[in-house]
Amino acid sequence: MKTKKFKLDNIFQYSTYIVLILIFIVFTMGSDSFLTLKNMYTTMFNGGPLILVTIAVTFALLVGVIDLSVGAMGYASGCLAGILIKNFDTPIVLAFLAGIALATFIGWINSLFIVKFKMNSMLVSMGMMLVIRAVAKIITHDKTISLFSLSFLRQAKIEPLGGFPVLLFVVFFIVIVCSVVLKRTPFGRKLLAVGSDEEVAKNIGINTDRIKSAALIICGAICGVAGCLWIITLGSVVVTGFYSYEFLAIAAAVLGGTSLLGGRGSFYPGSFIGALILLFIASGMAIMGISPYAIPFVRGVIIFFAMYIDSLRYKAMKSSTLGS
Amino acid sequence: MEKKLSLQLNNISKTFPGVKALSDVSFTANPGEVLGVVGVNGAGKSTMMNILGGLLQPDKGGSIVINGENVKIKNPKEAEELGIAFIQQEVQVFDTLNVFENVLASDFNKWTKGKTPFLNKKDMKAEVKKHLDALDCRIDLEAPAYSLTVGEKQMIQIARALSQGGQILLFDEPTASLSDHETAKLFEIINNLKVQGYIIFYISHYLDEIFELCDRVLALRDGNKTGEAPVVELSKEQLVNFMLGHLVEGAERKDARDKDEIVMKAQNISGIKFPKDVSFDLHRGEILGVWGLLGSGRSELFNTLLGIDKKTDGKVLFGKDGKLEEVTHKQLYKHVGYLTEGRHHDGLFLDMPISKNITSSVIGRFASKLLGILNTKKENEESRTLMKQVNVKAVDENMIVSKLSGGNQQKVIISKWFLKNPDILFMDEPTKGVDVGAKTEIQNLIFEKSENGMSFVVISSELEEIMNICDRIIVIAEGKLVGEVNREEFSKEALMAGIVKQEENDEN
Repeated sequence: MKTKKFKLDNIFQYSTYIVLILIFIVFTMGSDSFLTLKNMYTTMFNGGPLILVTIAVTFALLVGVIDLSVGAMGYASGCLAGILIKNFDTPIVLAFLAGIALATFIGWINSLFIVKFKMNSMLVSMGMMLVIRAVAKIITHDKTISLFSLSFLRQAKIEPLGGFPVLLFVVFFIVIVCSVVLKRTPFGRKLLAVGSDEEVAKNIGINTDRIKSAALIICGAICGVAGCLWIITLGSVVVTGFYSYEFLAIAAAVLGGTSLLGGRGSFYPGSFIGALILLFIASGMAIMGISPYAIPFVRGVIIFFAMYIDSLRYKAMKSSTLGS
Repeated sequence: MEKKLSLQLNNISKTFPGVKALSDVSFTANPGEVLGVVGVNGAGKSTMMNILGGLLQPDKGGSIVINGENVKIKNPKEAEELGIAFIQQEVQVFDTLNVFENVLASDFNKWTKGKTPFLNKKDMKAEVKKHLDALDCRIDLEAPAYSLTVGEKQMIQIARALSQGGQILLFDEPTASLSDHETAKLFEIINNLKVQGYIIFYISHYLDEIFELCDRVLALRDGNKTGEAPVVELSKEQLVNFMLGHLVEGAERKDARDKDEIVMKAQNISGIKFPKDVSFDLHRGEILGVWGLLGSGRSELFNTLLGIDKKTDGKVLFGKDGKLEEVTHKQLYKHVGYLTEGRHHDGLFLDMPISKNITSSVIGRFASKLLGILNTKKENEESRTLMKQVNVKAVDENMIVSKLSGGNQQKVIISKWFLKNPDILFMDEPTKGVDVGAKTEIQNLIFEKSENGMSFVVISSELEEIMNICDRIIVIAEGKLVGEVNREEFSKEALMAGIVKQEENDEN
């Protein structure tokens, strides 16, 4: 019974790859220095925080929650770790753990409001974003905190692999683990089930509140890791960190085929490739010397395009339901 | 089945704030029989099923005894452990998961490989295949659920119930959205399960189904048990009497057609897929039936006429004061009302009060000329008048629509259109999911309005109903008009004739 619907689905599945390959072709033709190992590594390493935040937000999206505080959670984690290292001489590992713990805690608070008190997820997380940003601004006095002590982590590279940044492993590791959890474990299936139809999930005895809370807390934890990676790659804590990442991350996830309505999506290839698309657009445009102001514009166009694809996908799904 | 199965309910009551939904209901269900549960909307059937399914807790005092043991069913999980499986009216399927995941969705944790945290897809598929094969259902295990028909989704639910080890199966109006063919198959499966010794509850509004399938029937009214008897000892009238406490009388159809005045003329209407080249006339005061099998393009005909789906060819003429003029669908919409099939998703504002729902189609009438401020007092008054006229049973006009029973919700929609008072009212399944009492009332309202000059175009899957209310029926198959039958010649054979001919043509 391999009918049209399946084929249509397949095209959508590969559409992210197709877009990524197109971007590669365009920029490789545009500049010799785009398709080099060094550029690939640097783009992915410096883009690590965005990739991780995309992974994090995908957890929320899968269960049908739009979490706008992901950027702020990453920022909070990096900020705390940075302050601990700079002002309190805390060992780096402990500082990072504290940052991750803070973001996880914020994720838990989000889940309390959204799942327990059944408040609107978008508004709760937006409020959370504003609160975190404000508090961080007060604590840092809006000043940049430089962290020279982290440069050894940034420079750790594996030379036989052409200078592969060691910490990029962390990003890959998280992507792979999340992907396996989603595709191969009961918890993964429950995430999809809850996102697909919460009412049905509840009726057949899935503890939907627990699954949703877990997703939001994991989302916070991964944002925390993103925050640590951020201060490593940048070597400082700046106020503009993770600025508008919530939107970029959601866009990247949707580009990768994750549904805003929940219940559909993947970490790999989905969100990972989606994030790479946004990252390589910026990198390619910078290499070709195109005005940096044009980057948001092009990303915007790509996001429109992604939303259009999403709506087509939704329509295809609807029509195959009704037409049967 | 190793042990002898038994289920007994003793003096079960359930009180909601202000309402006694169930009072002192006791009965025994036996293995190897299908127990039909009937009652009008709000009689307490769903409450009782929800108590068994663990979704609601009964009041203190009663007891539920399963296999000789007193049990408390606190949540769906416990119901599942007791072998109770609930096959709900709204298909409980995750559209974005595939078939085998859907079947086993309630206990993914059970399906990991040994002690690893990973799912064992091979075993999962084997388990699902076993149950689907037993149901004689051949669907691709990897197919996403959204690509399935409602009937196939129903099979997923039954397979899920069986894989959970369900021995007490509760079917809540399972045939509501099934085709005739799928219904027949479902009955075969239920009969099969019955023979194997399962306890089966079957709730339905369709009395014909009760008589065809059930062995014994339990009738509820206002939360009380009003009757319990083997089906063979009952007549349809007795059963209706159990449910309503009185007999319903449907009015006789008096032909109210104005033969000279055509109010709408459809000429060669075609859409993207359906309809294909359909033409018909509608007279003033006429009740025109549109009949066809599920998927024949009946609803598409309405949608295309009214411009909801794209019209690729054809004209619609509308007649006022004896003059027929071609109209666009926007112009036509001023003179018509459309009662859609899915009242929950496109017919009502469920979270709004009755009055606001009733006035929603003509809200402009209640606005002041100058500033467009709404006169809510007038809104409420007119709503009350209509609610009385149409007999909507509710506390008052401010009651939220989602709290009403299905039949009353349908009456709110009808009130809405009666307030607009269009020349033509299109109705897609006007009595679907509505109980016997409300059904007759709705039919009587249609008669009354048509005698006052309103014309109706009615789609119904129920042959008996459509033959009862319509003056004329046009038959649709694969989007084409394949027959037209007048009231004098109504019979199943006459209606089927066109469809059969169409199928023969297709084969050649």
